[in-house]
Amino acid sequence: MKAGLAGWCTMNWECNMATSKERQGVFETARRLALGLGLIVAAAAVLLASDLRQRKTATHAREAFSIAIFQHASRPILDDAVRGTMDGLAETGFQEGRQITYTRFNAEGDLVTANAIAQSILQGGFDLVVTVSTPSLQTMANANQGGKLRHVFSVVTDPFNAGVGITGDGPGQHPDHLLGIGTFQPVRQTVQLAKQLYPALKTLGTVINPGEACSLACLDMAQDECRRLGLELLVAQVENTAGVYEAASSLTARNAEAFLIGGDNTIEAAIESVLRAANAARIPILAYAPDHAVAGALIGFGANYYDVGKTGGRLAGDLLSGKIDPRQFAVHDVMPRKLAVNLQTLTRLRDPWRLPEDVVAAADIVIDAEGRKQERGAEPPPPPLPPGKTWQLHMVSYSQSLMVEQWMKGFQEACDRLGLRPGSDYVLTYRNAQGDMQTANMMIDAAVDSRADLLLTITTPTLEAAVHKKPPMPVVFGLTANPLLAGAGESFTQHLPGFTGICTMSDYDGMAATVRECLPKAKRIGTLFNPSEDNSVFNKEKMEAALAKIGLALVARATSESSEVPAAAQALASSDVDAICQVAGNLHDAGFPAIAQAARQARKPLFSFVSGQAVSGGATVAVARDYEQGGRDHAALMLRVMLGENPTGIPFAAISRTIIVVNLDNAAQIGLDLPAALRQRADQVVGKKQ
Amino acid sequence: MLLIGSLTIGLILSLLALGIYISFKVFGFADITADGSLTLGAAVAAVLILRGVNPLAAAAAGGLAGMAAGTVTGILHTRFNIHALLSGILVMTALYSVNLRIMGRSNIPLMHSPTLAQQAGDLGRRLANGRENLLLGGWEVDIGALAALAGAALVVAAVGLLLFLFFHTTLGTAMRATGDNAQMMRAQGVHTGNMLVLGLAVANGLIALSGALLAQFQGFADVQMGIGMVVLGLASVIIGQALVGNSRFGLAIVGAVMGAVLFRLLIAIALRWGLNPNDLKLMTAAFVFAALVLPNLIRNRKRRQVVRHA
Repeated sequence: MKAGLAGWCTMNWECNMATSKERQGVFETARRLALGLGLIVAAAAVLLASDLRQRKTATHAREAFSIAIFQHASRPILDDAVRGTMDGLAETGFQEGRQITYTRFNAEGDLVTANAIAQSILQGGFDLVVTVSTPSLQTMANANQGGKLRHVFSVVTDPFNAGVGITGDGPGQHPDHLLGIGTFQPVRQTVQLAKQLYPALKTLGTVINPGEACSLACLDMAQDECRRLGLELLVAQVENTAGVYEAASSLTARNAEAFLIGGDNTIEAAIESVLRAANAARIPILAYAPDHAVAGALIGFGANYYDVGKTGGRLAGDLLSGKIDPRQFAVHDVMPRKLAVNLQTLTRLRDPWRLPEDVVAAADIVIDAEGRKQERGAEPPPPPLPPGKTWQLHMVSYSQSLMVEQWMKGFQEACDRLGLRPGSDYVLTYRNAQGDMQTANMMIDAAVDSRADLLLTITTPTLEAAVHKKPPMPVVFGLTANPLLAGAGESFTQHLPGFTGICTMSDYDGMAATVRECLPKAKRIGTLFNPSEDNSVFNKEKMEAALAKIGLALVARATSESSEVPAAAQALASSDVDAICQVAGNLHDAGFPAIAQAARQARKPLFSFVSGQAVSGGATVAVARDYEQGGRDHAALMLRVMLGENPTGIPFAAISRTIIVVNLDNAAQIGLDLPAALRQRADQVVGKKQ
Repeated sequence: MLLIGSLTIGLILSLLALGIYISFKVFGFADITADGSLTLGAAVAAVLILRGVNPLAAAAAGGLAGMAAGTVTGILHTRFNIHALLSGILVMTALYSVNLRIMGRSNIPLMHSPTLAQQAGDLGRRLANGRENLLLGGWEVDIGALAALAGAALVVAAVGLLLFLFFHTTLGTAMRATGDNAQMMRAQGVHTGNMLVLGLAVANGLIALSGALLAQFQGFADVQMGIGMVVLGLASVIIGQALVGNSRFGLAIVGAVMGAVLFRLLIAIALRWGLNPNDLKLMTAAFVFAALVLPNLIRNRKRRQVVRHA
């Protein structure tokens, strides 16, 4: 049998190779292949013809300067300063990607890492390093004692006592390769202000890490000023952030009447711990940084570190272009002043502190008694775009959905409100991949090829595609649940150059608090999630953490098919959970009616992250991000980039508004009495009042 | 650059088209395991690369995993007499869970891992003395992308040659003959069931290899990436057949590759010309329809001309 098979096959082989018409066969093959090849070449030619504009003549541009930016930790002050540095450099004619390239380093508060980073910067072949913060200055200067690398520093309290060889504020009283600016915290003014706000003040307390030079410099000055005003200054020392709460508590035990905080990276990173101790004793915090007043300190009196960074950036730019001679340069103090006051904190204090009208009027940031932030001159009408340029905006979305449509509505609205005129200021090209990943990739390519000035991505997959392609133009993303999962960065502040955007990450803590408010006795909260959806898994984990913080357990059940949702929802609702809080995700947004039905049958409250689900989807309460507002935020962020701000320095942001929707009918159906405070606070109340 | 990107994706997906060609055209077996096996190849390759396995070996392992999936489909059909379509559906459905298990989550990024695309790029840059861009006829071309294209072309050429040689061995010829006329082959004493299983294994191995390469090119593996791939592959096969006609096997291989590349190029043109995005799938359908109908129209017209001449 085998032989028969082999014989048959051999025959077949020979038939294939039959030579009688061999020449004609070859011709035939060539003819057939030619058709296909011809079509491919034609298609390629059409594609290339579309891109003719992209042709370039060989140019040999001068190589860009490469700059290292080194910060000690991720804190708003330092991030602001880094942003200012880049903008300052841009002002002096050094645009990122054109004349210079940036590499950012961040020691995340660890000195060992900082030393290693300093070494690698030294070996990295950079043209210049800019350090932000005192520890970065010290570690970098230490590694760079030979002066191999030019070094510009800013955000340093006291450069003269930092031990880096700067002997005075005259020209030439510093190493030739090392120049920068000092920004001494307004220590004396803060102490004076404290005495003014509470004339009976006797005792101040401060927590410092004695390992930080600038911290000691501030302490010296504070002690001097306190002596002058007849105040006592108690000091508690810590070595790391873990000890801050205990140290602060020890000060309140020793009858400190207020905390004086600042100039210290360790303590400022743990400001929450100081706040807790202060709240427990109902005493105020006086800080040397405006951001701390936003977090809860009574006053924050410090420098505008964005401006400080900008001054440093301009200095770096002038140094690169040779406009300043290092020998003639004098290290000096720059102190753009910025004051923030918190009226909400004022109402909670034990002692009769007061904030006179003139102090509030002089403040740059005021937190009012309801906790709302008002920034003076915060929303000046955006400056008009420089005329003459029509921006080619390319927007790519992965699919079309209700969320995308709401987002686009807000985006268009904001573009009109911001005074952007379609046709003359911008041309918006919108592409939609209809749920196909390959197509999304190609759409990003198409945007790059047609030389978009700015790429806008909507939804997570298109951001992923853009992250992978790393297009040459700035990317402003929107409607992305989690830009970090998409690979756009390590944190909201430490992200890929050229990328920034608005994410839709749910308000987990707000939701947890709302659940607690409605159900004070609840112990276990249920949800469904889809293990094959990244966002669903991520939302589940975040929700779990937020609930755990207030002592609630999350019971999560996995479903990955829409046909499984009804049964799974019923099983969940009939288990021993006190309520269902459905985390966001494509599958369960689609299957929400089944979840609502199961919850109603089991008479369990249902919480949702999507506003429409409380309006008409069967949920009792929704704590939702406002997608239209998201679109508006997206447009506003885009405008900042269009006005010349560097996206690299703009942190990712969440949608600026969370809305609460309560449905009284749904609540009545399951016999739940919603707290009056929540009903009042809600942005939308659906149903009859009971 | 769009052209180079779509050529590369076209070449990578031409392996998918070859797999579909074998199951659909050689065996006449409507195999929709492809949706699952493409992802399987990507998943296996991605996980192995993360574990530090050489990306080429990882791609090969992805291909082997696909062969296993194809074998299962074949056995379900031949041993348990499950309908062809249904056995494909069973395996495809099961693979969704298997893929999730393999990956451990729904999406594995390979951005910071060595992939074939990156290695090709590194090699290309080294050959070009460390330059990032090349000026080709006035267009600035990224050397990494060019190297990836060359690498894809190399892989496809090698795989195509291997297939050609394999299907001209005794075994391969018997497989093709089984597809043409199973009854006769049974009369010849060939176990046609085994031939079909082997054929499906080869087909899905190619599809999984395509997935493994695609994941490395696009920089991530996603559990959803295989959805709708059967249709794409079939479209490429049909366009390819329209180009070269119902002809010899070697020509058909080239046809399938050309079909896949041409299909991607057409979509790229549609994109580049700023076609209304909502019409994209309609255009896809239109391309396939044209490929199906045009050859017949042309043939009919020729025949009529011949008649008139006679």
